[in-house]
Amino acid sequence: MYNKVYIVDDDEVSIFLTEAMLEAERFATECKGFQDAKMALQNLLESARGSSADALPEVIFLDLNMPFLSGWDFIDALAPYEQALKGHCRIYILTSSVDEQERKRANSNSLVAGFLQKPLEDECLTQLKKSS
Amino acid sequence: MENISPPIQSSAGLASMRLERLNRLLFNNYPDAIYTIGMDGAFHTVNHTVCQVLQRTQEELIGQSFQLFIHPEHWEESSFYFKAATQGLPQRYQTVVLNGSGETIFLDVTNFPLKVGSEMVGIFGIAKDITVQKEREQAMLRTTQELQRQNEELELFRKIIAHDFRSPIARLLGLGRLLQKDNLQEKTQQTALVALLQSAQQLDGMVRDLNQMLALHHQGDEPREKCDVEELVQLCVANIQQEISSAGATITLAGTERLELFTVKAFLVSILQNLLSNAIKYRSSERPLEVKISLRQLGEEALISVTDNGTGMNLDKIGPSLFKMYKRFHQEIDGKGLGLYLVKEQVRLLQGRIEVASTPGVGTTFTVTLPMHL
Repeated sequence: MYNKVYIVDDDEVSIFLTEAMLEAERFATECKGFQDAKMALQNLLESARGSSADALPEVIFLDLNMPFLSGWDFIDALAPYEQALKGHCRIYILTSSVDEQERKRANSNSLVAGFLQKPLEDECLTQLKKSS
Repeated sequence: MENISPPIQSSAGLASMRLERLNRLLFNNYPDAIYTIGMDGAFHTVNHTVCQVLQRTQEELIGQSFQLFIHPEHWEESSFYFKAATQGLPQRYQTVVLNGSGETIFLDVTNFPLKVGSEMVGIFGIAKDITVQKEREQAMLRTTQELQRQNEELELFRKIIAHDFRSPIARLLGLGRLLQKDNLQEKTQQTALVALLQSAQQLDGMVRDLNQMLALHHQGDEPREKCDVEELVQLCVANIQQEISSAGATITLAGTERLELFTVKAFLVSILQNLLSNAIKYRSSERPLEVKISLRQLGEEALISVTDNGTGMNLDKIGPSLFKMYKRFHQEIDGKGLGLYLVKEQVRLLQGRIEVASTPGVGTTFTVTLPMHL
């Protein structure tokens, strides 16, 4: 079981759904949902810089299509902290998109640990738990 | 046709006589326009085809400046080419002339310098009527552009299906699977059920919107009719009366000027209604919504502006995305984001344009400019 997981998604229902699935699978002790990607980014950056007592989440489920700050913008903003994040925090894209281009883009980005399609499935969570 | 003089006076003698006759025959009966023009720019000789193309008699042409028959937009270049030919350089170019009925004729022109001995006396030229080809080319270009636009739209629809339609579907699937679990708390189950219904409704709305949008593209020859904008505003207000009342909005019509357009009524109604709905959707929570619609005629154009005192937006940040499909710019507001895209498309179909000005926290003005007579 993970200690801490972030869910970044502008859609309230999606956060609820992911949280409920994680809970049912006993995936993590703490699950934090962010509808505002900027806020999540700010928290992460503070943890990565060590300017906050908050520990980094071990897993982030990140949506792509969000207003103001897209999932890709989010990852770009984290790029300078790749070393601080490596080995501590894994980012999974969790999107409803079935666009192959997005998957390719995710596969070629070193900060992205995996590309998951909504809805999150039990088997997928079991796999992720094993690698914890 | 007998009084046409050959371009060059040749010396006597049987051989040259025969050649001269042959030349004259060729000159008169050649299927393309053949002519000579003096240094002063006046027609010196013209063959039968020149007369046919320009729909003028020889008498009307000989002695007249060739420039009189050139389309005004091509005056400058044709005098440039003429000058170059009279300086000894053969020219080949395309130009446009006006015939006796005022129709435009496209010509492919070849002009040669014409010398007698060492003296430059004018030009000698052949012009081929290429109007049919030109028109075909233009029709082809229009078709190509239309195809390009449709391809771009197809790509847009692909994206809508890949991204936007998948979103409520993924939610429905996820919620369904969640509800299958038997260890759910009652509260979670209730929330999931509500969300399930909402997602289904959203998907339904998107399908309807998409259908409306696709229908838009199948219309090409919608009937145009007289539209009193004030009447149409009242119609829209009545259509969305419920939204207006529940938002506690006041809608006023400024400008007493009667504005009557000749346009596609259904589009104009849809534009007005979408702009009003947009104002209601993005109203400020801090003050009651006031929407002012003002109508103005400026020459051959009608200006319709819709001003609200809503949340406003930072246009520098949003920029060109504003009128795109399924983009929304406000958190916590349920926007499907198709409204402004539809408005833009309809304004485009009515050959108008739309502009937006906005200040965050103050409000937004959309101004639609449409031709008075479409």
